[in-house]
Amino acid sequence: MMSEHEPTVFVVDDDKVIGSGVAQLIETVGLKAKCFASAQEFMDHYVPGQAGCLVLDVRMPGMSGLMLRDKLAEENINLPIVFITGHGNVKSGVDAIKKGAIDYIEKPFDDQVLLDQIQRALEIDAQDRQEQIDRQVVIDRIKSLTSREESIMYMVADGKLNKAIAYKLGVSLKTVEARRANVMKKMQVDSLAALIRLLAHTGMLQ
Amino acid sequence: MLEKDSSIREHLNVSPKRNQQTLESQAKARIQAEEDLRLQSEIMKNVSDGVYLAGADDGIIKFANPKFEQMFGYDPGGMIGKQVSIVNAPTEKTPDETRDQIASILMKTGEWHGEVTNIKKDGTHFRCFASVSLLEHPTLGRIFVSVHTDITELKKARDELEQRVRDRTASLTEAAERLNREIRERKLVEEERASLAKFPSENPNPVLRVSKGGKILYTNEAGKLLLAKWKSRLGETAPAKWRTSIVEAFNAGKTREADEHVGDKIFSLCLTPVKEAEYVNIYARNVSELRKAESEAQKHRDRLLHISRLSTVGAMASGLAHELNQPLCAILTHAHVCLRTSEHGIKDLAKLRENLETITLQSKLAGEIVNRIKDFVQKREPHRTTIDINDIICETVNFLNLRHEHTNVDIDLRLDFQIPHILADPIQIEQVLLNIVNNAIESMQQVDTRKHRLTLRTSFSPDTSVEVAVADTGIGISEVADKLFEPFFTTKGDGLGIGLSISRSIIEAHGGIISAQANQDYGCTFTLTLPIEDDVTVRQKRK
Repeated sequence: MMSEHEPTVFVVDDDKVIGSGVAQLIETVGLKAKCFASAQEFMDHYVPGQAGCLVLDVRMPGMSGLMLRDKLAEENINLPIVFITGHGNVKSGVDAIKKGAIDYIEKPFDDQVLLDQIQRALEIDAQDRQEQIDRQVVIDRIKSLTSREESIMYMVADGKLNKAIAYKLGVSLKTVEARRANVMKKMQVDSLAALIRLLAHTGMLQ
Repeated sequence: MLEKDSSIREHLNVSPKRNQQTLESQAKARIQAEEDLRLQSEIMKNVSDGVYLAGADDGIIKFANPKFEQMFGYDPGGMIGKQVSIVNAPTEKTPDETRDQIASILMKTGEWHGEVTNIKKDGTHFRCFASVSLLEHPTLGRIFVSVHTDITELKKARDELEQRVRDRTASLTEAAERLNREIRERKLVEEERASLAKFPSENPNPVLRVSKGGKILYTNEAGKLLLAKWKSRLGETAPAKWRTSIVEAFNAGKTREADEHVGDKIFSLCLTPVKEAEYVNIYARNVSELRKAESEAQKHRDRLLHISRLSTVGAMASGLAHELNQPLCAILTHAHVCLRTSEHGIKDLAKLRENLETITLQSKLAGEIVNRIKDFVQKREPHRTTIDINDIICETVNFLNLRHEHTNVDIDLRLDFQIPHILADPIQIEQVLLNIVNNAIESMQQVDTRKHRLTLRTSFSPDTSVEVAVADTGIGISEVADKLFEPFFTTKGDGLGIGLSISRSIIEAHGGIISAQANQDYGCTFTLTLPIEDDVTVRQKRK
C-alpha cells in the first residue's frame, strides 16, 4: 500500500484552526499531513505500520498528548512525536523529552523550527523503519542457515581461525572451509569484514 | 401717779417760817399737817410702788411701805431695822457691793436710778426699777429714799416684745435675704440669657436663622461667609436650591442636612425647623476633613477592589497566556502558510484568501481577549446597570477558557433563561464569580483520584432575588467554613486571602448574600443571592 511507504505527518490538536494551519504549513514543504481533533480520533484512524510522525498538542480534553504517547508505547507504535503546547512549562517539557519526544515547542512557534523538527522526526522514523527492514533481512538470512552454519558464522565473526574452529568442532578443516563458504553465500556477503558489519549493524552480533 | 419725791420731801422739811405763824395758823397748820399726814399715810399705804427709807450712813431701813414689804415678802415691819442690802440679790456683786456702788453715786450726785435684781425673803429673784434719792432729814439725818417698781411683768412684756421684734426682724431679714437672693439669681439668669444670646455670635461656625420661606433673619459673624457665597444679605432670600430645602424642612417639621462648599471648605448645613416660631435655624459644621476622609476611604476601597482584580488576573495569568497564545499561534501559522505558498506566485487564490480571513478573525479574537482583560483590570468607578446574570456566567467561563484550560473538569452549565435582570456592576459581579470559580478549580486540582465536575446554576425567586450556585467536586471546606470570608484567610501557600472577603463586600454592597456549604458527597457549593430591585425599569425575559 502506498500509504504505508509515503510518510504522513499526523497533526492532533483540539483547536481545529491551529490544526488546519499546521497541516497547511506541512503541505507547503511537500509533505503529507492529516488532522485529528482528538487523540481518540487519531487512535481510531491510525493503521499500525504507517510511516510518519506525530505533531501533538499536550493539553487536550479527554486523552492528553502525553496520555496518547503512553498508549502508543503500550501498543508498540513508535511514531516520533513533536509536542506543541500553549502552556510553557519546564517540568512537562523535561518529562516529555525524557519519555522520548523529539521536541517540545511552545505556541506560537516559528514555522521553520516546527518544520525542521518534523523533518527530523520523519528521518528518524524512516531510519527506524529501514533498520527494522534491514534487521528482518538479516534475520531471514540467518534463518536460512543450518544450525551448524550458524554456529560457524558466529565463530568466524568472532575472529577465530578456520584451524581453531575445526579443532573446536572436531571436524576437518575442509568441512569448516566448506561451511564458511556456504555462510558467506547465504548471508550474501563477500568478506569477513562485510559479515561483521552486517551483523553489528542489525544488532545481531553476539 | 403721785409725784413721790417732791410732796414727801416738802412734807418732811420743817421750815422755820412756820414757827412764826399764829397759834391759829399753827393749829390750822397742825390740823392741816395731820390731814396731810393722814393723806400721805394713806397714799403711802396704797401707792403701788414699794418705797423705803434707809439711813445713808448705816444703811438701816427706817421705813418701808406695805407695798415694799409685800413686794419682798416680809411681814409688816419685818424689814425695819434691817440692812438695806438685804433687798439686793447676789449677782456678780455681793449685796453689800451693790449697796456700796449705788451709795457712792448717790453721795456724789444725790440720786441714782436703774434696774436692780432684788431678792425676796424667800430667796426669789426679781427685777425692779429703783429710783433712789438722797436727802437730809432733820431728825433722821442723811437718808435715802428708794422707790422700787416691780418690773418683772414689764420686763417679761419687754422681753416678749424684744423677742417678737427679734423674730420679726429675723423673718424680715430672712425675707430680705430671700429677696436679695432672688434678685441675684434673676440677675444671673439675665446675665446667662444675655450670654446665651451672645452664644451664636461667639460660635466660630455659621449660625443663621431664616424664615419658613427662606428669608434671612439673622446671621452670626461666621455666617457672613455663607451669605457671601450665597450672594444674599440680611432680609433677602437664600438661593433657590436652599430655599427649596428650607421650605421642605419646615413643612416636614424635620431636620435636614446638606453640604455647601464655601471656598475650599465644605460645610454640612443642618436645617432645623422651629414650627411654633415659624423659622428655620441653620447650624453649619465644617466637615472638610470628614468629607476628605470619607473620600479617601472610598478611594481606598476602590483601590482595594482594583488590586483584587489585578491579583485575580495575576492568578489567572497562565490561563490567560494560553488563551492569547491560541489565536496568536493560529495567526502566525496561517501567515507562514500564506508566505510560503505565495513565494513563487499565487497558485490558489481562494485558499490564500481563506487563510487571510482566518488570520483576521483570529486577530479579532485575540483583541477581544486583551480588551476583556483590560476592561477588567482598569481602574474604574463602580457603575451599576441592568444585567443578565447568565451573561456574566458565560463571560466568566470564557474568560477562564474553562473548556480548554481545565480539560479534566466537566463544565456543567444549568442556566435559567427566564431569569430577570438585576441592577449590578457587571465587572464587580464578574470579579466575584471569577474568584469563586478559580477557587473551585484549584480545590479540584488538589484531588487527582476522581473525575471532576464544575456546575454553574442560575435560578430566581420571582420579584425577590436571583441565585447563582457554583458547585465543585474538590477537597471541600468542612474545617474552614466560618473563616472563609475573613480577610487574609487563605489555605493557599501563595494566596493573599483577600479574594473572598472582597467578594463578600461586593455582594453585600449590592444588597445580596454570599455563602458556602460543603456538598454531601464531594467538594462544596458557593451560593450568591442578589436582590431584584423594584426600580429596575427593564425586566426582560429571554425567550
